[in-house]
Amino acid sequence: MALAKELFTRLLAGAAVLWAAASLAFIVLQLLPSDPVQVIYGADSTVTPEMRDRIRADFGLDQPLWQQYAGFVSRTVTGDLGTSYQQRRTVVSIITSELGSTITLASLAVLLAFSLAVLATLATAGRDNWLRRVISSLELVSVSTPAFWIGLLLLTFFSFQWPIFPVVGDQGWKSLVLPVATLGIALFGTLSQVMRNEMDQALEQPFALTARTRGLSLWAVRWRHALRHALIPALTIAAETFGALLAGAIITEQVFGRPGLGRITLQAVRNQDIPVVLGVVLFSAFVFVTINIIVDLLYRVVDPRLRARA
Amino acid sequence: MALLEVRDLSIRFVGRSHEEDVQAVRGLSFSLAAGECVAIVGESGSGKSATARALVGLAGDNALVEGSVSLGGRELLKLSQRDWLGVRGRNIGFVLQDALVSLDPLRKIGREVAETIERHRLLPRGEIKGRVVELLTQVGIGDAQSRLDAYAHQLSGGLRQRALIASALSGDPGLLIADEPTTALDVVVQAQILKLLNGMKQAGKALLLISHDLAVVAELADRIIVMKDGVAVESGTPTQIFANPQNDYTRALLAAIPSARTRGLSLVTGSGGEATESVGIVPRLPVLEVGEAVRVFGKRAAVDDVSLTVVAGETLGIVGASGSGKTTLARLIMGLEAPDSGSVTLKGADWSALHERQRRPLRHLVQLVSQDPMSAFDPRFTVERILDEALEAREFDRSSWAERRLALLKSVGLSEAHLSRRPRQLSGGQRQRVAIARALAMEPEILVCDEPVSALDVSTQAQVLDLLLDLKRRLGLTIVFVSHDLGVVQHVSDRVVVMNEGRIVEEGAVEEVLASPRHDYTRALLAAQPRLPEGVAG
Repeated sequence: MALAKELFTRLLAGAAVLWAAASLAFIVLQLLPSDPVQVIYGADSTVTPEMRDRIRADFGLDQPLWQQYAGFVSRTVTGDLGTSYQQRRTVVSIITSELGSTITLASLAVLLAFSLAVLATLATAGRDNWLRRVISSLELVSVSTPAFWIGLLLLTFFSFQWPIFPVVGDQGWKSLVLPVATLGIALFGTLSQVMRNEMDQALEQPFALTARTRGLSLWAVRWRHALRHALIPALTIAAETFGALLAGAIITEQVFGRPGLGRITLQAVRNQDIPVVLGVVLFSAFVFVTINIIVDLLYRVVDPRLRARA
Repeated sequence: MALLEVRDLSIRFVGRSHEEDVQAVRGLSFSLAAGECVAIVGESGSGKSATARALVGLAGDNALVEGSVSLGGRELLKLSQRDWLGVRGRNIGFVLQDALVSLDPLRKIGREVAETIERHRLLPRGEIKGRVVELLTQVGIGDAQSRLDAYAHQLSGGLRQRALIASALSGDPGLLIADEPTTALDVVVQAQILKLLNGMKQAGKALLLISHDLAVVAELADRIIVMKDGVAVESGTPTQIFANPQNDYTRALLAAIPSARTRGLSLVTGSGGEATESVGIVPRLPVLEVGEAVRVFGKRAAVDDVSLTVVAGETLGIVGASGSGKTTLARLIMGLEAPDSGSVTLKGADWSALHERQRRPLRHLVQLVSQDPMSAFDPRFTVERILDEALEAREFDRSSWAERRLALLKSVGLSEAHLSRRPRQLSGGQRQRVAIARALAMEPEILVCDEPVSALDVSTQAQVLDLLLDLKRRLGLTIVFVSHDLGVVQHVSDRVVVMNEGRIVEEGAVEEVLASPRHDYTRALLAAQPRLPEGVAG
């Protein structure tokens, strides 16, 4: 009962966030000094004033601003994000056609980073030895190196030096390896640092001592007890990063010439294709809201203390 | 032949340099047979916990353990890490204090208790659940089947401590080591847990009990070892130790136990505390009155129709078990919580009914000293800043701060040297002194002490209690003293209120209430109080 109530509140708050994001994006784009008709037709001087008016009417640009806003919001609620000025396709179809590629990339990258971080944490938490120092240094490198640089290095070695993987384009799983590795490595550092910190703390707790007095090895205490404690902050970071990647793996997608949301966002911004930009903004807001709700539910699964008291 | 034979045990914690080395235990020897209980008693830092941990090979990576520990004829100190794993849980069970953190908070009780059985493969998978239910029932957890899926935070303090003991028993070890097993519990639950441990002893377990409190181990132990600074200063049967203590430190420990006998005396020196700078006769006027106050949380009334009067210059003790509503009552008195009905008046004027903005100028009159000063301080603040915050809130002139700080520290027995320390760099007793100094900085008339000594060991507790009594005499403070420990309340209070389930069940002068309790609950509380044997040399 309490859960249903909280879920309802969260959904309501999520809707408010979406509405705020939409309104803000709408306002900002109105302030841009650009003429939509020019965007739609390019710098073609043959457009007659009559044609210009027709185009404005087609896109609803002749209406007063508040009507445009009302229309935008009401269409958005029904899932209609409008039509691209440039591609003459609906924004929804543009996003969905690129989404698959981005989701694959983001999921695999987060999965890779998460696995690496779990391994690193299990191997080094609660210890003070050479392995810990090596892995800590690797994390530091990962945190402080920009993703595109990791990508360029990987390309240099694994595509040019030894042509194992393709340089650009989408050629099945082979072309996924380097982008996934790039993002995964860039992500791993933060995740691993946070998880180990948390696991170090868990291992200092009395329950870890209790577990050891039952005959568990240090390894078993980490695996069976401390890991779950480390999952709580890791979940937050991984989810947030996943959301960020869905909407903005722009640079990595650019480096590897991959299709994806990042690429269409970049194009749309460059061409002032307002409906697409608005669509992407709304989509990112939607992704973040959804992921946050899911993560809040996952916390309850991991940490029973957060479950509502009966 | 004793089950456990400890000979000349020495534990040294190796620091980065020779100077940083700490000799935690030196030349400790004792033996423990099945069905017997040996208690090691001492203050924090005496080496008692290090000893307990060394016996299961978990003294730490930087601990150098020497001497001999043999269990059933097997030398433990020569074991490899691998062999140790087979001994822990199987031959030696270990119980720590406070099951809320000593059981994994993210795992179900059933799984925690089963862990030793799984680890040592003592039973086939299918039979484990039945055995866990059996164990939980054995330690006195009713309806054990339904508790399997509970988490530690969902159980009461007593139940989860029982579950922790069940988990230590699950490998059927011959030796049980209990390190402060009742320290986090209130007296009633403590009595139950001690009874349970006694049952284990009767059933033939060898029991090694570690505690800072001589009174707690008095009834259970066959032999007591008193430790100080890593050395056993005295050992003997409880009768020997209590009736005829040979060592000065043992005598000090005994004298430090607050009770009816010690009223008006210093717990540290044992001498009568004649008021040296008494502020004279304080008019016996009511300063604070609670009238028919009710405070409901959810469906439960935490405070249920409570009326009481606090008279200027007295110490009013509020006693009760956990959950009896005494902390909520203290919060009502502090004006941190408003009663749902009824009233709290301060010096004859409205207090609980005031708007927070009107109450703020009066807040300094009622100050709090809480149980755990570690969490009541900002860990990044120095003592100086902690005190300054109070001085600033009271709007004292900045030029007087330096002088006031020193006076405050001096009044609680600290010095200028402590100004630059942070809470973490202070001992538990020093932290509580700073908390008191901070409260005094506001120039209060009423000091509300909520379990101010529960987190301290007996020797430190004695010093803090002495300090509170001294301050009361010198400054004419009125003290509301909330505690679950009857001995402490008996020692400090003039009058006492006994609370149970949100109601006051008995009140009156301390001597009367505790000498001839009329209410069943008061009798139960008294019966649960750990008692020193008769004829203690005080």
